[in-house]
Amino acid sequence: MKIFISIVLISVLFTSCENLLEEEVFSQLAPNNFFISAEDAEASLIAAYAASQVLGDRRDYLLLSELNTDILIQREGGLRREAQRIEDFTWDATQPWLQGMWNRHYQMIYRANVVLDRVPAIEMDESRKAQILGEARFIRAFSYMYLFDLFGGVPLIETSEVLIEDRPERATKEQIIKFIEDELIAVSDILPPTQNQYPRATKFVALGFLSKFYLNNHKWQAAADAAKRVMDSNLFGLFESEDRSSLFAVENERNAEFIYVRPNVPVGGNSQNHVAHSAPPGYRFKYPPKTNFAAQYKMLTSFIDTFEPEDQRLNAFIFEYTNVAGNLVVLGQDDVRSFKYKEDPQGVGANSGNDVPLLRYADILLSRAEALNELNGPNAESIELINSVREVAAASSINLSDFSSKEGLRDFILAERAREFHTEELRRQDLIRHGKFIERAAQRGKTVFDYHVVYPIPQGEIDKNENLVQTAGYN
Amino acid sequence: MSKVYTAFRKKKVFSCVFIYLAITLFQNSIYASGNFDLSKNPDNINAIDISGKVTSQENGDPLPGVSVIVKGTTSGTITDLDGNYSVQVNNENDMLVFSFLGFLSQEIPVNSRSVINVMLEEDIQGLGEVVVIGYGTVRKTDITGSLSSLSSEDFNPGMQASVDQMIQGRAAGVQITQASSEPGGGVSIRIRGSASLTAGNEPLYVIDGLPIDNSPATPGYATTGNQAPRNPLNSLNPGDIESIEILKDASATAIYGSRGANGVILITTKKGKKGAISVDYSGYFGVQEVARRLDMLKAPDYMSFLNDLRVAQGQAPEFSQQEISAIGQGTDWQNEIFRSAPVQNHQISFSGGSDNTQYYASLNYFDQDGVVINSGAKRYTAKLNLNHSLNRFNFGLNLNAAFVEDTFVPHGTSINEGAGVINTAIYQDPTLAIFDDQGRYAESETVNLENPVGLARGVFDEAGTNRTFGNIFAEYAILGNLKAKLNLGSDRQISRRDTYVSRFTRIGAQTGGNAIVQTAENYNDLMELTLNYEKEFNDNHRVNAVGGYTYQVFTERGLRAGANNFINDALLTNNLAAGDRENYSIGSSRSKNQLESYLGRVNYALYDKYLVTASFRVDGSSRFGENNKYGYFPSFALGWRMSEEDFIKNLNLFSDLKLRTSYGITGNQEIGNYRSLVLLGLAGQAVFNDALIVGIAPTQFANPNLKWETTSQFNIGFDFEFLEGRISGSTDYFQKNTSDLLLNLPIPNTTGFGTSLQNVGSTSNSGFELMVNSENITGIFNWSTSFNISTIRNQVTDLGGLPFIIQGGAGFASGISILRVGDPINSYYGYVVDGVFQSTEDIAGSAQPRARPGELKYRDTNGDNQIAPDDRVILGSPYPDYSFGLNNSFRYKGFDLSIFFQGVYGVEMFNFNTVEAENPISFRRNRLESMLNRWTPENPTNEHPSYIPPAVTYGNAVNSRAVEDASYLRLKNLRLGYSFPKLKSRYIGSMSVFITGQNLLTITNYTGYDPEVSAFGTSNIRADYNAYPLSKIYTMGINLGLK
Repeated sequence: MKIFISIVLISVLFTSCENLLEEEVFSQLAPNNFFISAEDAEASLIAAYAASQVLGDRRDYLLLSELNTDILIQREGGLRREAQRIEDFTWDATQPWLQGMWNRHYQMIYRANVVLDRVPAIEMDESRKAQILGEARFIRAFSYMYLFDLFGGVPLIETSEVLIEDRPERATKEQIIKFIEDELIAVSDILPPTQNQYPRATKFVALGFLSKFYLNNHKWQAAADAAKRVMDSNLFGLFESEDRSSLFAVENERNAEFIYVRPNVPVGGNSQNHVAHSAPPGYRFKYPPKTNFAAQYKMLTSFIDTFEPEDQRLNAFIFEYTNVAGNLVVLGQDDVRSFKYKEDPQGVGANSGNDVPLLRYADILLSRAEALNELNGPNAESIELINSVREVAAASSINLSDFSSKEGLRDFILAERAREFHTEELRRQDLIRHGKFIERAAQRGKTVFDYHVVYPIPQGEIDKNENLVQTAGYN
Repeated sequence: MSKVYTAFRKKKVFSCVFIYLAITLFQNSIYASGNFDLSKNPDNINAIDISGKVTSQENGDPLPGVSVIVKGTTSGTITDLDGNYSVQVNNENDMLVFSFLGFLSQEIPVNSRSVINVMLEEDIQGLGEVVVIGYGTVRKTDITGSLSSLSSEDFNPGMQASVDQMIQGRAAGVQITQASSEPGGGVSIRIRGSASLTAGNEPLYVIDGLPIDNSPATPGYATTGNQAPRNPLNSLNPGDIESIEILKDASATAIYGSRGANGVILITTKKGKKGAISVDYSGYFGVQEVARRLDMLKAPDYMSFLNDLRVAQGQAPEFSQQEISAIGQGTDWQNEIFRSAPVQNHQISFSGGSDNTQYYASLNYFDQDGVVINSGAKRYTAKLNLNHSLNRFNFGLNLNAAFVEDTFVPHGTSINEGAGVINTAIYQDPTLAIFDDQGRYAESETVNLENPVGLARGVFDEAGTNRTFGNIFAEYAILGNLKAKLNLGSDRQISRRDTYVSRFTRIGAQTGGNAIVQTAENYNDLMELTLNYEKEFNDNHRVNAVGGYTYQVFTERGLRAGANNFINDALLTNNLAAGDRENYSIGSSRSKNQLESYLGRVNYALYDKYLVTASFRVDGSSRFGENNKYGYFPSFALGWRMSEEDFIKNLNLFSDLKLRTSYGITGNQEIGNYRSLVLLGLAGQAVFNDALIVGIAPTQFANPNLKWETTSQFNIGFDFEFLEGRISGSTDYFQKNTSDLLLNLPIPNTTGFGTSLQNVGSTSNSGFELMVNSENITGIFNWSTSFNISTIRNQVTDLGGLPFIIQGGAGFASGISILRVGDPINSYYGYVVDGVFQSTEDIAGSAQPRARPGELKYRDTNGDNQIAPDDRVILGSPYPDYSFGLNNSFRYKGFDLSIFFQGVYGVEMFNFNTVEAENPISFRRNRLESMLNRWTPENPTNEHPSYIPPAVTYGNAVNSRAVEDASYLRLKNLRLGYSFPKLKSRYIGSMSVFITGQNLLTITNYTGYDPEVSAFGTSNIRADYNAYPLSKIYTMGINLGLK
């Protein structure tokens, strides 16, 4: 009996101690033990970078940027069900990749805002702190740049102190443009010219993107000037080699030409998978075993035909191949494959480690050439800049005398940009900037309207936020 | 095969069942009942006093409350607490009738005796007098709540791998779905519908008073997104189960407070009884066969089908006539991975005891091979239940130790390179041989799927789970009627899973062999202190009260390590360090949650006629926000034993009739841990200088107001018994409203997050349940029938202002279901297909102007002359209109036969396999045989399109073609047994043998493997994708009682 009572008493005592329902967290951190040290500041910045380095399902932005242009089509595979709508201009607000893009960029923005809101209170080296804040502002502006490219005006969120009840409205195009320009200008004065780690935001990464952003908004003088500041840094140059197309091989990464990249390593989650989509059926990989997806990326023959035969950039394509059964297969009409991101010898399955350039020095040069042409018509500097890019690819030089009008050189630049930047997610914005996006789609037989120059706001967001107004044409 | 199925028009089948039932009931009504004449009132002139003691034959215990009536009169008495009685009779030839619920009545002639001691035999036919409820027991007659009580004779016979399979189809309002038919595969149980949209919907399990955490400990699939959970109850031997009580209404479940909303399943294991040791052996052997295969194209049909498609598109044929004639039958991949598989089960148990100590101990071995090669499960359990009572003390121990060994074959909802054996066997090219010229598993050059046989043989995937659970209790009678009980329980699961993907597979060849070892530990510790008070006052009032305090802690830990690039496949998972250091992957986790509760319940019975039950529980859960840690869960119930009222008695119809009604509040806390806090966690890795660096960011919104999901439930029902107990049953109507839903509320992604866990929205479930048992014929030939049916109406009633939420997807179809106010939870949602365009005239003016003949015609539901997302409508519901079970048992001398049908009616299923077959992602994938009847100009069918890829995409694959009627009627069990009459053996006391057949016949229009599966496990979103096929099982076994 006594024993029994003791057990009961002990039990009662044991259970009446404080905080029986306290939540002990073991595997995650909480605000009370984070945002304290310099390491915490760095880790929170890395979270923002991490979000910025993985875009959607790695391939979505490429397809949204090239499938509805004059260079790429996609056949076979489960992917085609969505891809065909992009190719045919029959996409709508329920297109899942758009929601993915939206989510990913606002996640980057949120994480950048967390850094901007929480790091200032951390006691740490002030100059590094200022840089961290600068990098976070860059990532935020960078995200808005892509959101603007996809959707036009979007809600402008500048704080991490958000509520689930918030129903922000779309900012106007002008507000977004001003925000991006102001931020990139501001951080270009904060960020250092170079960083120890690659790829991180630097002064010239910011200026380079600023130049591209001005260009896309037809601010030609500002674009030319910003491009010039990047050129004058003397930190960058064109990649020269026996074969220009080897620029994209894994072993040649971290060259002077790649100003900013989406970096990859052959590990799931931080890799890219272009070659698994572009390899034709039964393709015998150089570094097997590699995955060959059912989905097939194919280049339009009309685009391939614009290359001169001696152009080394043709080496980025596969025209024929020996399959695993040992038979030679010739790829016919609209079936040539882009192997721009050359097979990664370390690649595993579908995971390749090739970095995807987001800003190349060649783009800075061609952007300045384009801006100067828009300002002054055909001019010697533009021709020289274009030729510098063509020469490293062993393509023939052009002469000022070949171009009698601004329009003539503009069209040449647009075609040259396709040859130089295909498979680098730039074609759609180039065509839009040149006013050719809709026109060329119509020429390809698509039913297309002017509002197609931006994608619709994802329907899921409209459903959750009654203050979001769908872009005219999509509603 | 589908032709045969469609031959049974479902309506006919179902009306047959009803007519049969009606006849059964009608037959019963012709057994006229005898008249009870209670009017005699004899004089007491020649009174004879008789006294005696009534005891139980079972254990000699005195039986209080036994009614002792002089036959043919109303005079009589009941026995006191010590079983003693005294009564007067008028005549020495009078008969005394001793009756007591749960015991067989006895009629004893007085024969001039003055002392008559009687031993009553327990009536094992009835469900017993006492029923287990939460934190106690209650007399069956005193029950006011709605519960289904099942004992061994109600259990499904044959091969039953786990407890839940034993009761499938046996209780009204309890839908048990075998989510995966793989050995040890999980089930999904819904008691009275689904209420929660984000939190769990599975019931709480309580084994011998220990509430267990029923999330599976076995680590998940490392290879192929299998979302069907393992069955955590695999570690409990079904042969040890004495009874199962399913608590359904709030009166029964509110005592479990925050865990009661989804219903509660109380499992009671066998206990020892006083008497000499009895040693019993039971065992069976069986064989399992795949019940149904998908009819895919055979190689020659496949080749000409693909040729036709290519020619129709103006392309050269894929295969030459020569190739077609040389192929023979090609490879039937389903044939290659399916097998007939053995199963065996052996159990030996020892039980017995003295006056003070009783014991039950058992050992069990269960070994089931899967019908897919390289899959199976083995179970070893040991069980010990002990009870010792001495004076005022009562001590006891219930202990269960199990080791479960699983062998897995990769299967699940993954696709393409990651697809499992079922998916690859369905869609792999039938012209591919199993082995290539060099004797290796052949690889397809054109289809990005593994070789199904290579995959099944090339992945080593085994798990071992040790689980020990049990409780120790000590009870002390402080005063005669007041008892205190301390109950300490624990459940400890430790599981390890080893997965090695060898070079036999493409994916293994790519990674140079991939080894993953995962461990998981789940611990659950319980401390429970209860006081129980039981008292009868002057025969008219009876009170039973319980009060208590409980504290329960759940902890989980996990560890995962992986490596790849091994020199060869010899090491499997046994030396991870031999892998490539750069590709090591590791992970670990730990979490904990606690529940602190106060509970109380009072049962009060007045005149044995009017019954009141009130219960209350205060539950504190660590999972909720600081501002809402505690929740309050009351319930109240009334019962009226109408059969004790004269106006019912006078009807001479009912031997028992009880009206019950209850109302109460229960909760749901199944949301995982730490959901109210701001947490900072791993937020992906960034690549700098080709190295991965981890980032940290907030991973969820804080919600300090997060609280219980609240379910209020009203129930009204009758228990009835008439024709002298030949027909008995119960019927219930319930209305369950769940509010403050724990909902992952979609929020604008401009916040940085897509959802936040909030208490918004509400759902409702209402339904009707009927259970009927009937003794149709009694005597030497015995025929009894039991039938149950339930219908549930389920709907979303509020979504926190959102118009709808679209959810669910896998493989090549996403957004298959919708949550919308007024519709059943996760109704299927998509486009409607109205046949096939036959001609260009058809197309002109349609909403699909650029379609071609032979393409699917979508319905323009809003009439705006275009096919857009607005045209999507509800395509079906995953909730059956009716679920039912029907059992017939026959006994003749030593023979027994039982036939059990089970089915659902008015339910749909989303069939991902149809979607994938009709929309192949690569040309060379295999197709369904039914697709041969495709549209061509010469075959202008409306059933199938031309299967030529459309020029312009309209609509999508989430359409009415993918949503199929999944009603079915299944002959679930057939058992024939024979019990040998008294044996003269020195060693064997009793012996019986039996054969059973399971899933012998399924009548359905559904075209997949099984209309019952659920590829997403316990999720409300139901779909069939690469289901592990259902088996037909034939077993034969023996039960031996040893001397």
